[in-house]
Amino acid sequence: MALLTTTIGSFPKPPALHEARRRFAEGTIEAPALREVENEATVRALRFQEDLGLDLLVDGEMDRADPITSFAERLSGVEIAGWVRVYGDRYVRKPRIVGPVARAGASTVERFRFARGAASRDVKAVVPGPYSLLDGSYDEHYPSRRAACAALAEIVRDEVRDLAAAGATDIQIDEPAAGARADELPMLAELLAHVGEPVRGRARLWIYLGYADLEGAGARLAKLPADGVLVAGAHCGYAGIEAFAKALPSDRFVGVGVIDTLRASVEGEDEVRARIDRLRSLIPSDRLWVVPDGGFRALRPDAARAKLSAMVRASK
Amino acid sequence: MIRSASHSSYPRIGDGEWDQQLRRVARERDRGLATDADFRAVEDEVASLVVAEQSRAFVDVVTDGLVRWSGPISHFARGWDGVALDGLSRWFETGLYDRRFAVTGPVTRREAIVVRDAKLALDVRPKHYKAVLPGPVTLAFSARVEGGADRAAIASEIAAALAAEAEELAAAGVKIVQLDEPILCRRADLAELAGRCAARVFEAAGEGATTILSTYFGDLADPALDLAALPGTHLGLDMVHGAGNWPVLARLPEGRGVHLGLFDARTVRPETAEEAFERIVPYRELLMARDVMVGPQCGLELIPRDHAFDKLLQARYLKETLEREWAWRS
Repeated sequence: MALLTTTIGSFPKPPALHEARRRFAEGTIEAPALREVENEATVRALRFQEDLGLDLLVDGEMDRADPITSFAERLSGVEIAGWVRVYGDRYVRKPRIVGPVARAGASTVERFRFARGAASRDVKAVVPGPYSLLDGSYDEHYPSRRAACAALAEIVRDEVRDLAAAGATDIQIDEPAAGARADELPMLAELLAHVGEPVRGRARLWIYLGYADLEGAGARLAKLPADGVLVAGAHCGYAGIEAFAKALPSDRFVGVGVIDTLRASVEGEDEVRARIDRLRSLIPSDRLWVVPDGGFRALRPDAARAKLSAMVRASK
Repeated sequence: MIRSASHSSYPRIGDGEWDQQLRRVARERDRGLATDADFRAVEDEVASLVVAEQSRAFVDVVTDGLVRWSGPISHFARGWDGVALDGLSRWFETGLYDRRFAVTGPVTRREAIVVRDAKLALDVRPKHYKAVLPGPVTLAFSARVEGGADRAAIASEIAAALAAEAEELAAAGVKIVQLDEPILCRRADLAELAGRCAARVFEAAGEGATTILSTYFGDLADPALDLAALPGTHLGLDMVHGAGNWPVLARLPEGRGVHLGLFDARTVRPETAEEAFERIVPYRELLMARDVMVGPQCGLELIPRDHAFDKLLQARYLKETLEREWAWRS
């Protein structure tokens, strides 16, 4: 039985987009010209996925340098503090919450509409989750982490509602920070249920857990309220996957990473198939999705293509 | 004696055009436009600039910012046998990720890892240079091991490897060595093992060396924890995220120095030397009998560079305030 495939969000940006962003930052081109290059890159990312045969597409995040910062900087009450290293040679411009957070309008809906219009298959919308928005920011305003997270949850809830109104049938909430503090998992579960409430029954809600520690908190993470859970696994040899799989509610879709997107070396099809077979032994095939560990932002296009190609072939 | 001190890491890039070299060359390398050698050359340049920048804040004890480290856990795997890099994990609750160790056999040292870094940092001629090493117990107890493996034995092997590193650091002229054991704030039951491992490393650091056993992201308030059994000339305490550490000052053995983490290296909220001074006023008698370093509570790479620099400036102002108000000699 062939398994369904999707990806996590980002794809490598083409040189023309890097150049356009540089020129936009310098002030030598205007926003519409940058948008045109982003649109071209989005269409290329969609064709790339369609050609490979992926079942559920993403827009490739061509308009976002970093999902947290790009979303947060469009909110009032947020400033950008500066560059901070997050892993290896990867840096982000970390937001700083300095006042009550509020949304002037939707951040991701226009991009979703464009991608859906340009794609021949369903496109999954992707938004950062409230907990990871907080975790990826410095909060200098709210009296507690809970208060800050609740305020951000209202914003994400509105975004999710707008995406569903725009026709999104699959919405992914990125919560890579979900397992960072085990004592806050009940709060996260409560807020995620609140975020998803307006679209329940209208759209399939996915939660992406990133590189969460499944050994420590897998059983609790598996029960977070969503229709589907996505999590990395190839990077660590699936440490903790048994407990995670065992705890999954019976109605939950689950996608576990079968290619390591942090390593440039390309996995062979047989290697990926062996990983899938291991997952099949733990998760029923009618609920199992095949996904990469994370986004492809940091990989060269040729490596991303080769890895994804191996993943799709191995899943069929 | 009172000194201001950087803790360990320092931001590798800043917001200015000329502060982005390392990020730029990393991207060029990813695209095949720069080589590993190009990257290493920029890394060396940035490390020297980081030493100079800390000195420009007039901080007494500086580090090389751990600019060349792949991460707080993974970096030493490159020079050791018996370990491989495993999956990604968070550095405690911070937003920094690193590869975990997977222990594959007896851990032994194949080559020096930070000795060259120290030599290059000393070439910048800072007032006092501190070399930083990862704690054997923190490494061993966060590693992925085969079922039933003896983590205490692994920690001892790591301590032996680090002792060899410390010996070479001493030969290179390093007089201050810090061993980071943040796990002690979560696992007081590991204190005895951590003490044994640290003693081995500190012994190799040479006679007369300043040796700091650094703890952070919590406190050492557990009454079962035998502070006297923890070795080192100084104990590093996090006074920001370890509020329980204030009473710990009264339990410290006589003569033990302290490296007080008074500035929050995890937030960009402005802090002042005056606020820090007010917090330590009640502990004047306990502190003035000791050799004290004041600074951020952990490495500064969790915040942007301009904020990191400001934290160091405040540490320097605090030291100057203590010299002035308490007539404390530096």
